[in-house]
Amino acid sequence: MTEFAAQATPAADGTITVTASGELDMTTAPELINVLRKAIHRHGPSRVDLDLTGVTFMDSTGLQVLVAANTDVGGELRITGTSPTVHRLLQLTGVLEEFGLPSARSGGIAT
Amino acid sequence: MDLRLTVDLPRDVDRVNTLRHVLDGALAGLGVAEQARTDIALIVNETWANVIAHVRIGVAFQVRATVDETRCVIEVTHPDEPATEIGNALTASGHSLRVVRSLADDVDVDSDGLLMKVTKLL
Repeated sequence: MTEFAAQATPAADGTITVTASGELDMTTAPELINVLRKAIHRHGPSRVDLDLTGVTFMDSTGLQVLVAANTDVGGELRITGTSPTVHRLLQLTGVLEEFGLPSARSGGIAT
Repeated sequence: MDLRLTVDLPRDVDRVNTLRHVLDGALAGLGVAEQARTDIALIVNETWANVIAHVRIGVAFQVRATVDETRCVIEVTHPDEPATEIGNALTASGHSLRVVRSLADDVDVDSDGLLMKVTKLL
């Protein structure tokens, strides 16, 4: 099993980079919520860049965390990297563009 | 080969990752392609999440995964109560069920005493 971990790093330009790794599901989603909320509350960033390259699994619980965090920062949450598994879920649910990723031709399922 | 795994909810609520990993190991052993394994992992998780979203205190569910050479079947059963009421709740709209429907080859609800039966061909 891959442990989940997330770390927030503020940048000089007022943005925050959050790097996550491991498996993001209903049992680990609270950890990402904590990291994102603390970082947003403490730094009030103009944008959050989220690197999910190291996230080897994500379900809709994880997706709900991303949607909520995006709302918290006024739609300025950008996903800067994804694993194939994460990309597939974002594609299936039709939220690639919402997080600043190029949309896939096949589109997503209705939400 | 015929593999059957059963977990009880809500007692095993934090075991979804265990189910996912054991199932993935079995599928890898069968030589199932990574894409199909990824889809099945998501199906298991989203089916589980859908049950959790509708679970009521004191109501027990079982989630059962069965694998043979041709298919992986995820079944949700409810041993104690009439299926209809819970089945209706499980088919309510939600992200989880939409993901399951988009990935699975067949999703059958409330038939033969099962609340949900999700089939993914291998």
